[in-house]
Amino acid sequence: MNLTTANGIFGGKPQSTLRLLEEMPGIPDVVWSILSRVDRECDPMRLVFISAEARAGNTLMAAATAVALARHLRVPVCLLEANVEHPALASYLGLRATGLTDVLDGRAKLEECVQRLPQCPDLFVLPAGTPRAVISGEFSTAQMRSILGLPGKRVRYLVIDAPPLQGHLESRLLLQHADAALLVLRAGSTRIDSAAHAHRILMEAGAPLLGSVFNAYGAAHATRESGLEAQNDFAAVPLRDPIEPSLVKTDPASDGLRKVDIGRSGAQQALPEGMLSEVEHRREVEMLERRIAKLTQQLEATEADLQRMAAAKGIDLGLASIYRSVQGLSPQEEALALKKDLMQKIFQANLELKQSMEQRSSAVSPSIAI
Amino acid sequence: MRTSDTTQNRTTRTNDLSESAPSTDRGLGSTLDNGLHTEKGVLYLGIDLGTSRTSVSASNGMRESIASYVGYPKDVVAKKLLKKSVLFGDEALEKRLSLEFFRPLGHGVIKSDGDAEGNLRASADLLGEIIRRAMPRRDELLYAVIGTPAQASIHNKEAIVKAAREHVDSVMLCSEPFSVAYGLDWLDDVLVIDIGAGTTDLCRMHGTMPEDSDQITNTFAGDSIDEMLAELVHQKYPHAQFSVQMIKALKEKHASVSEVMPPAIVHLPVKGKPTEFDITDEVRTACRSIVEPIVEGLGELIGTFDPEFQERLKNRVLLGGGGSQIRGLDAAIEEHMRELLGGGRVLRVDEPVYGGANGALKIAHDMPESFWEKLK
Repeated sequence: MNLTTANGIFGGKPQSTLRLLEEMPGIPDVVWSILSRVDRECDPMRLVFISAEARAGNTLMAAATAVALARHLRVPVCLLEANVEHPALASYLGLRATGLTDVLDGRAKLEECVQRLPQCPDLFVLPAGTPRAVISGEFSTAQMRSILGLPGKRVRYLVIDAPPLQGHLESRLLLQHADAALLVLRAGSTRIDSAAHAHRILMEAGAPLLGSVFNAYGAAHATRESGLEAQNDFAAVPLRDPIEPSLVKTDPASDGLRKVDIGRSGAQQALPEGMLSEVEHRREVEMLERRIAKLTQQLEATEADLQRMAAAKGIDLGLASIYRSVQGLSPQEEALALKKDLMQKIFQANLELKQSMEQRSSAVSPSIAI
Repeated sequence: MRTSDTTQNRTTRTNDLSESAPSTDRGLGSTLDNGLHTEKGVLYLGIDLGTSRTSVSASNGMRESIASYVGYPKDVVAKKLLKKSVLFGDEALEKRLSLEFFRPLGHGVIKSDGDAEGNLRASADLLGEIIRRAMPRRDELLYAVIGTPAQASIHNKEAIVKAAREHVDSVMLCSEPFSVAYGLDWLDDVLVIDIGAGTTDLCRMHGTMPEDSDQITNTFAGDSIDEMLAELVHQKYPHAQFSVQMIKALKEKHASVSEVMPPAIVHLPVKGKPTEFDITDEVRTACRSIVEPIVEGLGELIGTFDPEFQERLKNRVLLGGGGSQIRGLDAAIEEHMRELLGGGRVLRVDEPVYGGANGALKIAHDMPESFWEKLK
């Protein structure tokens, strides 16, 4: 899936921001067409927007989709910002900053924090609230579950702007409640390995992944076309996104990518070493997009196979641990020697318990050989 | 048994998803000589098996807490109606009239009086349920640390280990107050107060594993508050009708020891008619009943400690467990410490319900692989 969006769309007056969100290219023809596949099956519907890394444009995507759903379907839509560490929505939309964290911490009631946009009466917004780090497990509390249960009570769509998967274990818990999920990637920024890793996590979490949104593709081009550049309300739109070195490697053996020499013009040749021209950049992006689509397709097929097998055997796939191997104390651990000693003592006590249990059971049932 | 299941499910052919012969190799991520590949993943579980609530924190981010109630349908009709063979937590409590109902833990340990067999079975099922709610994958190793009361008997520890082994690959027990302190990295010169439903555990930490002499357990805890509150309400309002469960719910809503507390106005039936009662004083009196025994216990642990470090110990008192949610309790203990011990500072644990489970999870994480292997 491919989307072209304007970078820096937020940052202006709330009213203008709302209008621009409505007009954002890609949402009507791409996101909606994908949503419509599951829309009929899920009523109400919880839709999670999630990214592999920060700054992928997740909030933008979620907000634009929520606005579009509310405006065009004329049904109640709730936009929930769950990225409590870096809230943005309240300032973007000119709302009060109280929100999710304030509800979870008991400082405010849910009803007080859910806000309605006067310009879009069907859209309810629950901003992230007072910024703070995510508290482990808070997304699985009864209170959070009750918030995620909103669709059943009041709204047709709950659009969730989830924290990025990288470094936020809690995001996976939100996926447990999702009817559909969209992975947001950013052209020129998201690394292939991060995207693949994010996809694997989503698959392991059993998330109903509908597809991936490739954000900021040809951003400058789209910005000029949609006339956003002329608006004074916006922050300047960069002509090009930063390119991670991993995306422009020239060694075909390393990741299969090839940098194509397209015969640069004089202006392009003046680009600093290591930078790509816009045409090259777009070509790279297209190739990456195709690769992601292919990988996504393969992973989906594998996941479907696994799920079919699991269902046939009555196996619950569960939620994967963040650890792939046994951990133990880190050498950098504070008070390492003391903790090692404590672990040894706990183990010793349990070993003695185990031995006494074994002795007891052998005393109860004497050897059959006798 | 889970072990055999996991071994089989964990072992898959690289190019063939069909089940293969069980492998004894538990090395993670290793490729075996016969071309089999072991799936990866270790799920750590920290479990707080409490009289009132059982909680779990897991390394997949899941955290769950359920009321420690278990119920089995009394007969075929009930089973058909409830569509379950066993119910847990609040659901069991709600439908207890149709159930053979168990609150299998008393004073923090598995009850051995009454229906001992039934309590044992219910505890095993409760452990199984809390582990299930942590959503483990069947292809992962499950390593669990379970917090038990500081002075649980050997018989009880054996029963808990036996029950847990049905669901996990390896299990360890650990003193509950110790796990609370370990979870917060408070290992030196700390006094932990863990107020549960059945017991209040006091534990002195001084940079080593607490011994029996470092721990005091008393029964002035949640249940004793409920009993006293029920008695006081009955004395003041003899016509009010209520059950222990109703009193427990009221306590959880209004619990406070503060002189200035919001009025506890409640509705209790009188001959079927809901009637308003003010139980503010009764709630405060009942909640305060645990303060004195706690401070006396603290005094005993401080008084028998190295005099040079007694002052430091007094100023590092950690208040945890469900009972620590009583409003103003930290201040009340400090006030009583001033009278009895000349001062002291009490810090409340941020997450009373999950403090024990979080600490147990940290212990599980920090435990070396060889220890887990030896306890399998």
